[in-house]
Amino acid sequence: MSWFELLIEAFSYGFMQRAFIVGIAVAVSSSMIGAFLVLKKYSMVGHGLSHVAFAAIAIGLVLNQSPLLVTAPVVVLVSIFILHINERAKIHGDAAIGLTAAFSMALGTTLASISGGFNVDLFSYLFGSILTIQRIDVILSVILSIIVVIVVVLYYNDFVSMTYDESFSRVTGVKTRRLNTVLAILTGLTVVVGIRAIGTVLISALIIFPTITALQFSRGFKATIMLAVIVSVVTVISGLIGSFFLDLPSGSAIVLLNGIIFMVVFIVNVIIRR
Amino acid sequence: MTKQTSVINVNNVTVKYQSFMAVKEVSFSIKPGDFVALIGANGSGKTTLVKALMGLLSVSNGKIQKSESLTIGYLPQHTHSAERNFPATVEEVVGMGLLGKKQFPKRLNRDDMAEIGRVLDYLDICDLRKKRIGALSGGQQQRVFLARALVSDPQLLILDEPTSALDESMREQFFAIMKRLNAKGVTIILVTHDIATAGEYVSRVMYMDQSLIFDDTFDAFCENQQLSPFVHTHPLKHGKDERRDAS
Ligand SMILES: Nc1ncnc2c1ncn2[C@@H]1O[C@H](COP(=O)(O)OP(=O)(O)OP(=O)(O)O)[C@@H](O)[C@H]1O
Ligand SMILES: [Mg+2]
Repeated sequence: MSWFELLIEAFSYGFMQRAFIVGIAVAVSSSMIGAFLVLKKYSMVGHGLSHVAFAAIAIGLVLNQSPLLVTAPVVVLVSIFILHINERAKIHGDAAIGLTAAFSMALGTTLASISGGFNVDLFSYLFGSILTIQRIDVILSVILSIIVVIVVVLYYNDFVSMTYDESFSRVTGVKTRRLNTVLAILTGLTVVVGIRAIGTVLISALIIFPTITALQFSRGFKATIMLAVIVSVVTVISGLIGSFFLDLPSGSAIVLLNGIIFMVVFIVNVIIRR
Repeated sequence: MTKQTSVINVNNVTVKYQSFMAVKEVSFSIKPGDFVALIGANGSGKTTLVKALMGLLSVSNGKIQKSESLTIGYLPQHTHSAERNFPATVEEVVGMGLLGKKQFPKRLNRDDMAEIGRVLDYLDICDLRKKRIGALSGGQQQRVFLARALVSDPQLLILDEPTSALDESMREQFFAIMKRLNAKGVTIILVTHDIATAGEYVSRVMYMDQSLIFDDTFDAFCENQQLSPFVHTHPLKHGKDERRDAS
């Protein structure tokens, strides 16, 4: 069989089709908001929120509730909390992320051990399992990514201005508080939906990697964000195909690929600049 | 108070950070066409006051009135956001200054691009247009931020130490530009430590130390005996080396 026939075969599976749709949707939304988060120095927010999601999933499993039902509102609320915290309290964003992550992890593991330890289910949420993707995940992730794209496109200039210089943009009439809240909600939802495709532990990578890879090309904002989306989508597609043929966890494959691409771009950049 | 004719009316304003009073019971009004130098030692509350004027900080007491339609061009003191790796070109940064005029969804069109070109030309930085903001020197960045403040043709300019990174000749050029804008009717509030250079251009000097201590012309300021401690370390009375310390 040629590689092409192998690909056709891969796509004949329903779960692979679902994984592709969810993967691309998550890739687009995470890299789009990722550009703003990374440049606002909130790179780790995905990392923190994925820990919160872990705790929320544990709560869901203990309560026998659909994990998504518990996770979505909890993660969104914590996301808003983190993105607004240094407006009032004397806590830096990174500290807020660190403490929520640690607390959530402790809570999650405590609940897991009380309820009889880690089971297979929890592992699949941690590292992503394309076999577990349901039709509802497909629908949710597509809706989410469409919302993210629309919001970012409509408020693009406001977002860029706010990310660059919050005080200045407020003087020009940008509603920065509202935009921050919108960004926080989109981030929370992206993390929740991303859990399915690439797992709680690894969703943060899709927020950071494509953007820092794109930043290596040192272009303007528009070029950077578009490049990040392309890197993100390409790595998710190839990662999924790789994980299918090599029987790897999808999340690990995608993140490894991102890491390799970043290193190659970085090294080539260093060589060119010398 | 002639409320209608003033650009901004400040009445007994106090601004606090938690319990610390940074600006205390300040009252003044800015008239159209005023060119104000706002001066005072480090930590005297200048930045706090202008931030309150723009609504970036809320006042804990008193009242600030300005007309709904007032357009403000702002040059912040610390452009810490001018992070080296930020992927924005000079053109994109200056374009941010136009967003206040734009309706949703805020898109910049060809006219706006021409406007950006004009202001870059005006400030003699056309060659920087496509450069990344982080790749510029401090003085070049300051000119770009000035361009961002000017591009929307605001009625009021609030510039927080805009000359701190400029060289001598650029500084003179800056004040010449301010004078021209002021002559065209733009109201200017200029926070500066370089009153020696600014003095001959401004129409009014406001000296503050938590509260507003002096508010009159530059000539009156130079003659003021009560301000002797400040006037003493005043760059005018000393050599060039001290002038550098002061800024
Ligand atoms: N965010 C803040 N939180 C607490 N205190 C602050 C804050 N910003 C400023 N201050 C305090 O308020 C006072 C006034 O500060 P401000 O920045 O307005 O001074 P300034 O006159 O602009 O000084 P400089 O010439 O150094 O720019 C200072 O004592 C400063 O320590
Ligand atoms: Mg200041």
